[in-house]
Amino acid sequence: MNTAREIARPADGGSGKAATAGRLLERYGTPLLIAPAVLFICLVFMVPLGRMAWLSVSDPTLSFDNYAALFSSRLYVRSLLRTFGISLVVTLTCIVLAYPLAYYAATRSNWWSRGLLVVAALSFWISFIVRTYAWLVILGNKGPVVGMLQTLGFEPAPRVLFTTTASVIGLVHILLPYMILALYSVLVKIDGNLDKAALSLGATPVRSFRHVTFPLSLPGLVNGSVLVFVICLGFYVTPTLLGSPRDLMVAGLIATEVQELMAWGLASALAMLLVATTLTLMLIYDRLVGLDRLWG
Amino acid sequence: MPMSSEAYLVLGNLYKSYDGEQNAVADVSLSVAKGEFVSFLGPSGSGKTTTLMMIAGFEQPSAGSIHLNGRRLDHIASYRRNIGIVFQNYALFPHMTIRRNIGFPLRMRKAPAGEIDRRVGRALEMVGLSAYGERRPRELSGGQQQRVALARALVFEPDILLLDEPLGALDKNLREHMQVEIKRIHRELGITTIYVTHDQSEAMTLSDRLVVFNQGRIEQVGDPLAVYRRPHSVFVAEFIGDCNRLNGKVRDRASGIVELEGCGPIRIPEAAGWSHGEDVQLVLRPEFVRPGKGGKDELSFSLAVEGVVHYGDTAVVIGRWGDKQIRMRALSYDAAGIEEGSTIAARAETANLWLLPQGG
Repeated sequence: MNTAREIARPADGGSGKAATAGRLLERYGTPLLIAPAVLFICLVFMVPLGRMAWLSVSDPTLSFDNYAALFSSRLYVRSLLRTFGISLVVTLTCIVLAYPLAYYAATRSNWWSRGLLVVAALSFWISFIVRTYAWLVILGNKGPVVGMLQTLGFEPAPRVLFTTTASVIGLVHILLPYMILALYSVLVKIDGNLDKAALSLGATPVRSFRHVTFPLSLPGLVNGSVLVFVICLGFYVTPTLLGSPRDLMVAGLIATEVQELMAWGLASALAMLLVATTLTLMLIYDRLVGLDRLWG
Repeated sequence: MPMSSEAYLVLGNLYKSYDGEQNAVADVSLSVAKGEFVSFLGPSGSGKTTTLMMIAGFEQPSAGSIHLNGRRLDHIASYRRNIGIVFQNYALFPHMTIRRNIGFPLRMRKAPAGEIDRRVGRALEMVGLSAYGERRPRELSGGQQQRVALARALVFEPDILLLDEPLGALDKNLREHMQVEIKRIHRELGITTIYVTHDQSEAMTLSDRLVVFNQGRIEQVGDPLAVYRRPHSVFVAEFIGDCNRLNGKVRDRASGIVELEGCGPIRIPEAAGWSHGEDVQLVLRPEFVRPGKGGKDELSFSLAVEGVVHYGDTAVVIGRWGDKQIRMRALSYDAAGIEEGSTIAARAETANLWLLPQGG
């Protein structure tokens, strides 16, 4: 590279400007290339976040009253705990549903396994709002689920829509592809000979899975769980549309504070708490696995 | 070497087909004696690895049977067969230390902890890696990983050891070193070993017996030198070593005269086994051709030299005998005076000549 430019320089003689621009680009190329993205993130994300942090300690008075209120009110604490609880249930359900599917897709290469992956990816690309509205219809009072329950003899049929169960169902459906792809990307890289080796060494298929495949798939499991759990913590649309208005998750609560009570300070404090929780999870994850591996 | 002639591993008319039409393995029958070192040799896709995988239990035969030590194997799950396997890419468990890798088969057999420790220690010693027990596989070199794989496949005293191109991923020097190592371990333990490779020199050096595979079938079985000197087909002749082939016709089987196309008649004792007028081809390995005038029991001919390629230790002389091209491989020392454009006298012992049917 260097030699080529040195040889080229005498030839271009007068056009010193071009050479200077080239040197500048070589020196500041990387910062210049990432500048637009950095600027964009600063403007639309870091600045509002800072403003929100400021609001949380300055509205209505300059104090930590908002945070004190959060932890002294049972309403907020219960909503926080509920949010964690729902996120945990959603994450675990996703693991249980996604693991066998991802395992099958990663260890076979047939028409079925490819089809499963396509379906998983496809639901990634359909807007989660569309999918949430679909559940609104499916779980509604005149929908197939209630109809089926009635046929089975539940009279009157239990309400499904506008319950926490409905939000869990919706969230699992929306977040499942994350888990599947996180698990798949790790499982597919595990050398198939390892399982054969374990079998030849006397491990039953179950023990081969327990001692070899499963431990090696843990990074994918942790990846998927962190993704699903963190996204779930702050999810707004699906729990709001499908869930019970009395059992709000934190994101819904924040919206209520702002839209109905105009309590900007309290809402900001709640949001900051969510941000802090997410950051803590990310730090733990970084320690355990390394943040650079989050997206497979 | 502890070897009894009675059959220990017996493959009976094995077939394997994936699509019901083409056979990946067809009619493979073989019997291996206890303690024997047998190599499966063949190009890729010849069925040697598929056969190995059927012995290991990772592939189900479409037809046929496998017996090991009198026990029918082919309906037994792979994890109950007590067979040690070494894979080409080692297949060590990356999340376990070397010690835990080698101890794995013993843990699966629920051996007591003390015994596991002792046997793992001994296995590490056998492959000269005692100092590496606490390391992870990725911290070891390719050759070391291969030795760990070998130790792991042997520590539970399997009935038979299967090696699937175990040295394929190693460089040349290391490969030769590991060949010696494998041979030593085989000698020490006397374990029946099946060695799959596409490298003919590897198979020649290591094995008691060679099984040459081609297109799913066994082409030839035999002592390595015998297979080299007396190949049963053109495929074997060309896969194991190099050869010149000359077409001819048996003229007189009593006196062993074969008329070679474009080269004239030659006298060769092998012709006695053929009938009069039969079309044959003469297999003449380049290394059996030597410079100089032939004596009794030797084939003599003159070679018009067209080129000489020097390899350092040896040289290949390419020339014409009549209108047929002949390659001669000679030691550099013997080839020193041979020049392009000259005509030299060449000879080959008739005992080293071999006839095959034409088109075979």
